[in-house]
Amino acid sequence: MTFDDQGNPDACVDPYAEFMAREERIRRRRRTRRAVGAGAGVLLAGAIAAGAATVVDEERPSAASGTTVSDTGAPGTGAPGAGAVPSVGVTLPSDAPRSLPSLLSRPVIRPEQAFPATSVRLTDGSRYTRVDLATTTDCARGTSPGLARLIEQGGECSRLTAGLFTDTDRLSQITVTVLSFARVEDASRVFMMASTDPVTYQVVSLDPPPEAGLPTVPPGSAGVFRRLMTVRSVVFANGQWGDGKESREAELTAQTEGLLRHVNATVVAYEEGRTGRG
Amino acid sequence: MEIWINPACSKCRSALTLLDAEGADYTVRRYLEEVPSEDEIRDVLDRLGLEPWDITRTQEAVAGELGLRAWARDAASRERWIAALAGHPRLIQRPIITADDGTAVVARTDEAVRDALSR
Repeated sequence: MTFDDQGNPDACVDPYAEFMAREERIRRRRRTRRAVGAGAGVLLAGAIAAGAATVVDEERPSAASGTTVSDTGAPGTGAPGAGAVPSVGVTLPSDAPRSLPSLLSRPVIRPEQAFPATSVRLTDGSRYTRVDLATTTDCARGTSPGLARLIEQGGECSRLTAGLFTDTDRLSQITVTVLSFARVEDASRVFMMASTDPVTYQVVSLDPPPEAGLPTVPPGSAGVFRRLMTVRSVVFANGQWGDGKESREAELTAQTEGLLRHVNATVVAYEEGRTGRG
Repeated sequence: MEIWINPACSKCRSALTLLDAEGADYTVRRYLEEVPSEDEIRDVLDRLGLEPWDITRTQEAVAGELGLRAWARDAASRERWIAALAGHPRLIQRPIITADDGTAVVARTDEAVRDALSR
């Protein structure tokens, strides 16, 4: 696989700086509680990942000052592959939005809320069809072994829901997965580690069901991997061409990021209480 | 009860969810990682009462590479099909549940899962 990541489509924005600036604006203008909640989904991930994370890995001393070291995996494994996953501690910042408890009191988003339509049209005019939908409360069933072990370090992973989309030419296969947690810290841990190592900490792309009439992407094919964090969920998008080819990377990236943003916006709206009272 | 799954298969996830909801006691086998031998495939086929071409995913890329659509579906070709399934486990239809009574089902619907549970 040679398509590049692997990053956050909004990576040009420093999320922590954005968080602090926005919080300051909130304080100055004394915005309403609703306004604070509306920003939480965008703000929390950056605040936590940048400010209060501890990655612990005995094998590879950290270059970052203040990072402690220990290991939960087998010795000599180096990267966190099949056996070793670094212990990652994440805590909420002291200045987390006060609306957070009320946001977390909502049920996690359900499949029909995260993926309400089988036909999707994005703002750029592109259209997609959802050809499959799968959900489980046992999140490890839809993740790589590394991500499953990372999830086990924290609190409950409440639900994993995945939708498989294809474009109008039925050439792309883009799996968008919503991984929802009971606690923000656990979502943040996953988001942070998946952003650092999107191969080890990835969700499993769906194979098309036979009735979709699409080919199964050949194993080991190139892909585009992106993710965003909401209030309590991490939204992943894995894009591949159905034939597994590495051509037209920019087009595949645009499709993958477009669908990611679309689903992410749906999840954020729900988790911030703007739609679909649960 | 054992269920053969591929994590990329939504029907497998659905089957597992239903087994959990029904409180079933089962073992998960990720057959792409723990690849069944030819003997195991023969055993499952006997339990299913099916032929190897009946549980072959012909839409897989490797099926095209092997030219499976042109392969004869008769007793003389049976071992060739079984060897293909063992050599390329992505070709195996999923999920497959082996029920407690020794039979097996391809559990692609809730009804099929419940059928396996009732055996």
